[in-house]
Amino acid sequence: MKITDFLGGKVTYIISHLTVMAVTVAMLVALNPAGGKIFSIYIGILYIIAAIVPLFAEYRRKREYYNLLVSGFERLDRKNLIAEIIPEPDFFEGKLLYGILKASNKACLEEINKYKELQEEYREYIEMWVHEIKTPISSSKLIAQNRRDEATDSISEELDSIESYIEQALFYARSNSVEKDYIIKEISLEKPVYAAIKRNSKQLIGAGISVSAENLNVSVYSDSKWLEFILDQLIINSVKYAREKDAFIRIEAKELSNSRMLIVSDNGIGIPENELPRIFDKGFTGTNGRLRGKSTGMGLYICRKLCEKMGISISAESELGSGTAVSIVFPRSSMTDIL
Amino acid sequence: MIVEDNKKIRDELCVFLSRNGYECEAPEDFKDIISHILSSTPHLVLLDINLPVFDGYHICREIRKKSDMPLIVVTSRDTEFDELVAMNLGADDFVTKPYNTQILLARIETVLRRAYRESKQERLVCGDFIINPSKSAFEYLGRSTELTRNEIKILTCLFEKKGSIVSRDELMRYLWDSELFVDDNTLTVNMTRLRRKLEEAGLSGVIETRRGQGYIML
Repeated sequence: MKITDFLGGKVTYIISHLTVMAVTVAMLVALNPAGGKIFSIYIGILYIIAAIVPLFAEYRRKREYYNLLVSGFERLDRKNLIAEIIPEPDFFEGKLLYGILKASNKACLEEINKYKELQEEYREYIEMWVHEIKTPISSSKLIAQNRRDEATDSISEELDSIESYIEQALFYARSNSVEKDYIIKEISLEKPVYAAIKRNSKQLIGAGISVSAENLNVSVYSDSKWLEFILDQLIINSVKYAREKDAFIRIEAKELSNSRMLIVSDNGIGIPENELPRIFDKGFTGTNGRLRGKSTGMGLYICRKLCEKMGISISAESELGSGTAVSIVFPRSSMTDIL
Repeated sequence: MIVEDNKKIRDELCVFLSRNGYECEAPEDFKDIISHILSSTPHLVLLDINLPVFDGYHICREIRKKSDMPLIVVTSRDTEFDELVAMNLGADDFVTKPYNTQILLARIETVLRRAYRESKQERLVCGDFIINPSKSAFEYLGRSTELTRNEIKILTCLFEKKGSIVSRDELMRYLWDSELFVDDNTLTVNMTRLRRKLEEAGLSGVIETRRGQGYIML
């Protein structure tokens, strides 16, 4: 708060005092009292001092308070919590605004909490729904399995894809949840990788894609189920965008100086360079997705969200026409330090 | 024994498992389920978690107090947390719905093998021809031939379905279930080598190719 800004707001006060002083001095000079002109000027100076002192006192008080407010606000991460950190001012306008700010903050937080609760409720519902629907899917699968012919085999395949969409919905709900519903512990990469490959074995074998999964006896810190879901999505993508002949998917682990990396690479149709930065965005389908008409633009978005929550990073490299590689980086030192 | 409250799943599981050589019992009354399980001493319990009267976790805990019969928890809840709870309560394995039936079979087999290792010798015998998966070898007329991991799996798979055609896809899926992610070419190579080894042992023509359909062991 600058002095000029402060005085700018006091223009009427200053003008009125100056005018009154000028008139008083002029009147005194005209009356020509015993003390002469010196006395009149003396009175004028006294008047100015009396007018200026409270002005400066007020300035200092307000400057102190508002500077505290501004610097506190700048340092604050969640700006909507400002009312919680500032002290109550001791001047009237300040008190008024402080009260309003407090109340407004409170209303704002209540509103936020309301939506948090709604979202949490919704997530719980989705979670419950997903578990409910798995029972009829299970029984349908068994029924189809027990009466195997061309029709039921094809129904089984459809059931598999229903299952994978349902899984996606579940993880989407989880990725947005504020609750921590995952367990990060030391796991071997083998387990989730093998599980994800097996889960997609029908599609992989059907599409004639060869799979190599090597050097995976490496431990990382992650939630096994979440990682399995992420790998599932990556494999589904590789199958979706595979080349017609001699397609392969390679899953390998790499050791870096302070992290471990899991790379899922394929020799599929690849992603155009200008679309690459957006593939992890919500709802982004890209040229490939539109051409093949099966993309929801959700898979990779959910992967990124899940990775963010687990504190691991995911990125992709690709060359149009020759393949895509998605790498997941598990930081080592920082994770092990925490645990 | 199948402990599952959904009638359809229960019935279909029974059909599926009986077809694969297991005897099934599926109680329909869950009021005295714990004492029922304990008194009928099944070789293995497939236990659902969401059950009427008592939930599966409770049943699991109660059984473990008195018996260590093999127990697989089958549930639609699939978080690490649920798995952890089940394992802590003493379940031998944890399978999530909707399960892949082949995986379920494999899990059942593993748990049973672990529990009754002594009593069950793991050998496939047909006259003078013996397959020994644990040694990765087969014997014919007393002579033993070693096989690679892929070859023994292929042989076992064909042997288990002796007399019926096994498609290449089926064979591959069988291998994949044991983490052997072979592709089409590798399968062809493995098949040729396996046949050569069988021939050298004096077993020519036991595996026939049916064009466009797959292989059959006679």
